[in-house]
Amino acid sequence: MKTGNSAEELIEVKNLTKVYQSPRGDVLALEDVSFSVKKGEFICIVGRSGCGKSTLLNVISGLIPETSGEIRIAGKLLKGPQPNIGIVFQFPVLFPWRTVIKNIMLPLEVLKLGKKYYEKIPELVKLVGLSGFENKYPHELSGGMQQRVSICMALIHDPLLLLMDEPFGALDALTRYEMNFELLRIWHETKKTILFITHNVEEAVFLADRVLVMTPRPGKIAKEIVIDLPRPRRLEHREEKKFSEYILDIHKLLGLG
Amino acid sequence: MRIREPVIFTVFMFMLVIVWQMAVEIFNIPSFFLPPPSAIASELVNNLDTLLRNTYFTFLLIVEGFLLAVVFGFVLGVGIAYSWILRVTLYPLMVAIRSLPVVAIAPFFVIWVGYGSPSILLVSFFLAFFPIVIASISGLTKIDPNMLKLMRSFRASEWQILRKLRFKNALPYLFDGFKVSITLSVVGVVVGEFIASSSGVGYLVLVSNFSLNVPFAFASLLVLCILALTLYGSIVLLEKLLIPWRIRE
Repeated sequence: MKTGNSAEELIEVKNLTKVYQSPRGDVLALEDVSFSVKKGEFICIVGRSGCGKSTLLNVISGLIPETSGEIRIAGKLLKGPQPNIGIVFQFPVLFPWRTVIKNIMLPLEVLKLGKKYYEKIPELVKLVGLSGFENKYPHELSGGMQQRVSICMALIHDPLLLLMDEPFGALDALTRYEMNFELLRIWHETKKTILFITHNVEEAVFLADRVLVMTPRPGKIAKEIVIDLPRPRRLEHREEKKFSEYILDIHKLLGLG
Repeated sequence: MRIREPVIFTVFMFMLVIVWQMAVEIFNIPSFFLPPPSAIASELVNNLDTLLRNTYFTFLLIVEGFLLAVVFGFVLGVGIAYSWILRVTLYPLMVAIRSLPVVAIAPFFVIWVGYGSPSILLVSFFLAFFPIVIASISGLTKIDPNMLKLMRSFRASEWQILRKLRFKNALPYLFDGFKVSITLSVVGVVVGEFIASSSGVGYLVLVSNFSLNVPFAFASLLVLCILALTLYGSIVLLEKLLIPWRIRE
């Protein structure tokens, strides 16, 4: 994959603004958002519903155009969707007529990628914990397992960047914890860069190297908080004083207490 | 569970036939009013050759009318799903034509395409076509927006989206359309045979009614019923084979 001059910065977002036009007037969804993400970093964007965090992710994924500002991925100016990126949506998007393995192959078929990508499938299936489920249909899987398939689909074409839009928001609390650990393990093993959106502050602090706190109307980044907790993250980290201080700080920034 | 239901139905039908036979005998109902099952059965056996020959004639027309409807209905469905101009021109025109009672326009079919098979086929096509168009449009357009978003995120071409997403998405809708359509095709062929034929099961029902040979008319209806159910059953079977992912409700 090509890299730009600033090889360390995988994502550079500069003065990004997004205006939605509606019959009742323009809505400023994002205003002057700037940040950058280094290769291999795990960044969480946290904010309340409607703060523009999903819009931000949609713009970075190239699915909707920005109004002004610029986004560079690996040094290249972003114009529309590109195969450097893998996306995991809020709800698992699986084709019900395809088995797990066939769903995983879908990105390879659409992108017309070659044999060496297909050869990697068994390894990746194992990595995301889907072994033994290859020939099941999506409706035969639980929500957590379905989201594992989505993660696998987002990784199969070997993108540099993984964008995740509240991927575990629809799961029960225990499954979400489990998936948090699974995601960290996958991140360690694949060394992908992850941009993860959530409204769950604990989840953000637990996962991230840095948390970007977003505030609404217009959507902007209020503060960046570096999470100085050791890796690999463990359940005990949640009990540390530092952990709850981060959470308190972020809650305050989000206008609580 | 699956074995029990047909068994219960068979027993029920058996009992119904017995009650029917007894009622006709006890109340001395004349055969032209309601023939006893025994008379229907003997007509069936004695005229099996005639019945089978005419059933085959009817069967072919039903299947042909249905297949024509499937091919043209699907093509028009794709057209309407993709083209705004077809959606505002052909679609309302089709709805308007379809609202006409088929028996009112079937005589014109005879004038246009001639007596016999062509006009029978046209009546069948006329009835069977509409549900396929509707099913195609729904199936091709009622797509989870997230699936489209996923495809776009991989820069899928419209052709890839059509092939890998829209067609597959349309299958369950199409099979619902097929089920309605095959039933209507049966109706269409029988109506066509009433109006413009000298063979077929519909024709047999008509002539035996005229000659008050009611047991034979009932035997013909029975054959027609079995034919229609077999066709419907084949579609249900095909659906199970082709759409294993469809969640049974």
